[in-house]
Amino acid sequence: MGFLTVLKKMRQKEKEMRILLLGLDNAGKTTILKRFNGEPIDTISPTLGFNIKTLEHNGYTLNMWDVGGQKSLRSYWRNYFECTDGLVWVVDSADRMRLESCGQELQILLQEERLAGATLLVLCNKQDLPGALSSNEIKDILHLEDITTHHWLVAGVSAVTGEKLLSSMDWLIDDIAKRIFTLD
Amino acid sequence: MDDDSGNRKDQVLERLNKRNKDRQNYLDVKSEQRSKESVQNEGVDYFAQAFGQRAFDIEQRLKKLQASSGDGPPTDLSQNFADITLQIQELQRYLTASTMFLSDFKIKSCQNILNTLTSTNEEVRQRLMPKKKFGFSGKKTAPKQKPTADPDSIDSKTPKSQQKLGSNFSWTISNRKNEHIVLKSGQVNGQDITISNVSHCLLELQGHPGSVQVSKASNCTLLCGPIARSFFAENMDKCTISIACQQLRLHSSQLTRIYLHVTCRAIIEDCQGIEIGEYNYDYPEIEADYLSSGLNKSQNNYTDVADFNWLSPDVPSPNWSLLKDYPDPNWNALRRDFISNNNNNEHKEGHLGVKDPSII
Repeated sequence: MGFLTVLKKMRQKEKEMRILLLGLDNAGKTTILKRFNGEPIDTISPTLGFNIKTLEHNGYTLNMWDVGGQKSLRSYWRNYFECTDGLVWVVDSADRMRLESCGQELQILLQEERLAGATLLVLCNKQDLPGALSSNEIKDILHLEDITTHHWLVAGVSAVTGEKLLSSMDWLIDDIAKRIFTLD
Repeated sequence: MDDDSGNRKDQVLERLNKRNKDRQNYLDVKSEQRSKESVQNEGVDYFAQAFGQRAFDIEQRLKKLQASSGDGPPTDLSQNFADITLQIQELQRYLTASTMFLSDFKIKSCQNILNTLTSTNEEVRQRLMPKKKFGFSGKKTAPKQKPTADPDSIDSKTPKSQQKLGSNFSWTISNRKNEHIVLKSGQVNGQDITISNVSHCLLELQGHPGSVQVSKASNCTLLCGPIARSFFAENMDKCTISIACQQLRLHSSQLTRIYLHVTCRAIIEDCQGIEIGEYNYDYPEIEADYLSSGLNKSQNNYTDVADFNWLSPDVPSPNWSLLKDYPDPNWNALRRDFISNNNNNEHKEGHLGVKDPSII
């Protein structure tokens, strides 16, 4: 273990990002996480509590936190806010009956001080379903254009087919990297 | 001194020998693996062939449609496109199911083929069945904050989002009372079924929906074929449901009995008086529907329900219980009773004998 190793370790630590996946229950957060990590997605149960995955992507170490979205778990979300670099807000594009509460929950998060520096990625999931709303429609319903406090991007994705998932995550990582690793 | 150098020479030789042996061992292991892989390759070859054939078929179909544009009536066209979309979805499922034994490269290239097919399908559909222009174009505010947004931010899907727009979308079934509603597989397969505000109804979904959502139902019976993904329900009151699904999520519901087949897990939240039994809905095509939904028929975790309002692992939740010592419900008898009852007292509310659990 020489000086180089120490340096390398420090560098690795620097390249770490903490990403928080949130959204209403049944939005597909765990499915997105598993798909992104290349795990099978056909045996996913509703999340009791949370899942953490650490994975390497584009030379960065991503700490992904996927917290259950049930009503009774939402009050615990704030326990995970600290040190979050990126917030991924997952929307079930086919779940029209709860889009309004989905928007409200997102607004509450955006006012959170501890998330103030985080980049926001809104994933309109389940685009493979025939009844899914497009990301443009969801952008309007959730009033994303009004967000001025965060860097944000909205993208229509499908965790089942993997459509656009990677490219939007790449945007998130790029945006975070530009902000926190500017010295590189 | 000589002795010393001789020793060292021996050591070096020994080391070289050892390294050579290691290398050979490694090669042996490799070649063994390779021969093993060639056995597996048969599956891979078969996949490549089947996948290629099906992709080719879809492509041909699209080409044919393009060639014969303008001839067929538009209803025919939409049917054709729906079929093709379904075929593509099925192919996608085939690929997803086969990722176990495919190499990364193969998966990627197959996924690319699928993506191309999907976009071609979309393109042709847009060309042959242009949608009425809808006024989203007015909203052309420059992207805020980040001009770095990649092309994904501009959603290419807008034209696809069918006739339903924004908040005034239509439920599959809504505002019904005292009715026997049956949806056949053509209306159900792969679709997202939404049901709202129903009471005293007998609902039957025969086929394999992609997902089912229910909001507000009272005194209803819902019978449903295997759901590929999740069943999500809220505000159910005094209902009987028979469903098979990957996940069940039940919220704010009371006194509801569920005959369940769940391959992952069922959860309840803010519920009381939920009774769970084993799924036994039956109709002629149910086996085929199980297959196309991708549900595992032999895996049923209906006894393992998680209650979000009850976190103690030692004491069972008081909000739900397993049905014990009840005869299996006979849906055919129930259907007969419901229909005859409904005919007899069309306008008398609350007198549907079917709802009596002793009959079920």
